[in-house]
Amino acid sequence: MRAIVNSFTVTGTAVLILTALVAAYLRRIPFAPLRAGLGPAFFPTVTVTMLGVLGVASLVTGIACSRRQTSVNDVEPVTPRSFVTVLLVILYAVGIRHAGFLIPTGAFLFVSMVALGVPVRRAVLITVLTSTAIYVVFGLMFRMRLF
Amino acid sequence: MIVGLGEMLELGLPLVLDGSVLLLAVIGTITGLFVGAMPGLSSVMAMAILIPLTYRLTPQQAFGLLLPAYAAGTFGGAIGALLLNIPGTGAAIMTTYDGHPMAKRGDAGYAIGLSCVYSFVGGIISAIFLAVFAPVVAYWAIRLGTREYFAVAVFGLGVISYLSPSLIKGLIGGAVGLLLATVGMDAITGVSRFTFGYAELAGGLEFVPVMIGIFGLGEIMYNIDKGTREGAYLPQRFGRMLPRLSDVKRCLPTTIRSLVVGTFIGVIPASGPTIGAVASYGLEKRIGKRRAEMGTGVPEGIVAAETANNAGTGSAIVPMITLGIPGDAVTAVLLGALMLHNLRPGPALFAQRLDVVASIFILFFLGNVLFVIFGLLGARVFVRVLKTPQRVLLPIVAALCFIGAYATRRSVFDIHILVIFGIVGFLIRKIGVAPAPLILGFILGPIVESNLRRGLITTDGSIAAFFARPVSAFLLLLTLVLLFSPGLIRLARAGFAEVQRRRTRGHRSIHNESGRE
Amino acid sequence: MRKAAIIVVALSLVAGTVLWGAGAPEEEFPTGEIDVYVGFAAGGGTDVLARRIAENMEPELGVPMVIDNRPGAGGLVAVQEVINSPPDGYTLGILLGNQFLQKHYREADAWIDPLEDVTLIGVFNMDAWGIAVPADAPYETFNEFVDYARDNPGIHVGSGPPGTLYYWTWQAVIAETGIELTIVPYDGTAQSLSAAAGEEVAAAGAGPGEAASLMDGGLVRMIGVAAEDRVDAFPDIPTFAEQGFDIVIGPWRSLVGPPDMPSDVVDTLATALENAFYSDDYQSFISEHGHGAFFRGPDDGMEFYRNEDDVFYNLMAAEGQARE
Repeated sequence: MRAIVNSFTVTGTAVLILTALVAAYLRRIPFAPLRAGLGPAFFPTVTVTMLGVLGVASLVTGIACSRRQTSVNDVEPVTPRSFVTVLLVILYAVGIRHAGFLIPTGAFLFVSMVALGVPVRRAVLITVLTSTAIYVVFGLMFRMRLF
Repeated sequence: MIVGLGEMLELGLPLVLDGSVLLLAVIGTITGLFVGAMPGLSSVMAMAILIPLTYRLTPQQAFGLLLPAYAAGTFGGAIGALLLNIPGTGAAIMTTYDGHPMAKRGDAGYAIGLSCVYSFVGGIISAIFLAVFAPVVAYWAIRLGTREYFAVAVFGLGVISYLSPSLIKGLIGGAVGLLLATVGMDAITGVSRFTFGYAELAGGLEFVPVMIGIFGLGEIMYNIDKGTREGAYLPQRFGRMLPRLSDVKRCLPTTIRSLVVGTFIGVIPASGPTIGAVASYGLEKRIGKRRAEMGTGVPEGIVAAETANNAGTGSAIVPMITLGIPGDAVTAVLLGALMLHNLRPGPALFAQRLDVVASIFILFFLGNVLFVIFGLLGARVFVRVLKTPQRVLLPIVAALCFIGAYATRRSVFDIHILVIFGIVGFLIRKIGVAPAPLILGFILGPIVESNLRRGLITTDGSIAAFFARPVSAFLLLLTLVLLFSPGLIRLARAGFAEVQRRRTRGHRSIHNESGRE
Repeated sequence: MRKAAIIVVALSLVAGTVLWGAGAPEEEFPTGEIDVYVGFAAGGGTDVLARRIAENMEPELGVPMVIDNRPGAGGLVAVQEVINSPPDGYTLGILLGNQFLQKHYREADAWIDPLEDVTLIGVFNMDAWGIAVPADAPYETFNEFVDYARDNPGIHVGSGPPGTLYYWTWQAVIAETGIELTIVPYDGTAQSLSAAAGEEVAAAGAGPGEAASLMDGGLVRMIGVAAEDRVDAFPDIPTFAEQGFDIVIGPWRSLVGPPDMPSDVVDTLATALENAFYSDDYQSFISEHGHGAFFRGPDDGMEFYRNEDDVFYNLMAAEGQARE
């Protein structure tokens, strides 16, 4: 089973799931044009059909590869580090939604630098410097509201 | 109606050689470089920031600020592309292909020098060509329409298929990009597609957060995940910035082709510098002498991309100034700047205010000179970015991605888009799907779709009519030829070899016969 | 000791509240910057007009008016932002006819109702829409165009996207004349104009100011404008009314705030807007650029809004495109 996991099978599966979701949504788009020519559903339908074919092709390629060379998995592993990174980025976005730009930026910079192994003192210094630079350039010069 | 260069210089120079104009040009250049180099801020953004400042300036001062910012912004995009693999603007996407491998090898300074000099070459030569032939070119370009725009975009889509090492994954990326492009109100019928009731999506997915998510945030997350061990880059050699003479000679055919392609495609309204760079890079990858090495960090790749995108800036200005037709978002802003100063672009401007026209071309020229100076001077500073430890650099660049996505529309919604596409960009790297085809599909999708459908309305449903116009027929056929060129070349070679063999055999037999006699 | 401390704290609290109450509210609106959200990019037509009118409101209000560009969905994103702001007069926005179109258009899935959701401060501009034709087209006047279209039903005309006014103006032409046209939607007026110049379409809808460069270039001609009177900057272009057709339609811009703004704040802003409109600077600006001079205050402005609402609803309903 493990042997079948490689970048082509994973890509193919992901693409086929996407295709199915889009195809389900497509029924909500009218196919008829307003007056002449092709309707609004034409282009997404063509694209999603292409995607479906490519997804199958990718899957077939992947299975063929896994048969020829046993246990080749070229998908780079998703590590715990990945989850932390994704979580940090999401928290940053949520922070911006509720507390404006500047404070979450400082928090994000500090936390991610420390997590990556920058000494706390240096992290504080760099955070303050970067946040100030962002404030001066974007807040003062470009007149963006950062809070 | 060809205007003399001498007359232009005579009229324009006194207006431009003014302390305040020159100072503003320097400010514009620095802003353009900065904004262009930052992930997420593009030339359009630079214009949007600067234009409110120009409302009370004279036309020369206004254009002294805006045109150098445009030129420098288009070059500046290359810096992020080279150093971090994060193109600062759409037009710099193709620069990542060879620029980043070169920087990784330790030649970041040389890569910056190359893109700087060839951006200059592209900008200047297209500017001169267009200053002289502007009216002729503009009257030619206005005859181009829907079908030509469609053909140009299809040509760009064709490039996707030979960009990626894996054909299937490249095509998948392109198709997903095309699909993303259909989000929003359909341009032809106004029907909402994939908007889920969000007004923010009615105009489609905003380009900047999508591109910065896929290229910027995705790349950063991927690098963090790979481990921030030092030495992802080889130590930088700082020796040479200016292109070596041997490279200049070697790249001459590439340079000429890229100039022609960039200028030609730039003049076609609705295409602009990005498609010019894509087409030029794609062409080199197909017919260039070093096509096999493209993508490994050869100068040809940088030259093709940077010459063409800056050649596109010069030519995008022409339809705007001669006929008031803006080709892209930046020229639309420039058009607004002209109108603000009660200058109506068009033949009347050439007839009555040749001084303004002349100063516009001179300022564009000046902008190109200035970014070369600042670019080369700044190269050492830019390269120093790579000396910053990854664990400090990556979080800072991530924060810049966020502010870039936020800055265009000042909308928190776009930050969400950024995060979603950041995660997508991260995951596709894990399975070896390259980001560029996806973004190219996203850029080209609306042009292909709306012009195909619009074209079919204007031709009453005839596909054949797309081949009835010379420019679109030429581009569509060229797309086909390039798509199948490896096969065609093999066929041609085989055929040639066959002919050779027969001929030599024939010769020999004749010879033999004659010998026998 | 503790009691004394409590009393001191309590007293100072009371005193503070009284002083605060006495000092704060009497200051008149406005005391700080006013934000104006523009739903279009900097440098575009709406942006330039908004900046010009805002600049002329500043001296009267005595505070800066800051333009904030938030492009998206034909201005809808910016207007929604305004609607969700506190109704204190410090957040305003520019609302266009597009919002009425989106409200009624069957296919739009996000919209607001300008009649309910905003406080109108005033309408400060209305441009004339008109018809541009290729320079060597066989029709010289609008009448000839109509005859030509009768002889060749379904000729192609260039418009803006169906979610915008530039599409439905053609429906107004069809409704008035009864001719048959194939409307080709382009991304904007500049694109549909260049299609007319390149003879891809038989005519394109555009304001005379937008077509001026191409007219100078001898590539297009204008056969009529949909205004009550001829446009000052283009006295040679006849109106449709002169040629016997009752078509008056065009894009307009209005200044609005969030719903339920206090009436004194609305009055202050409306007066400032009216004075800015009649200022020499604004008047000379709009006449030089071929923009239409058109003003409606808060009250007759609502009348105007309701009228526009009916016009667009009827155009769409006639095509079966109105939302029920």
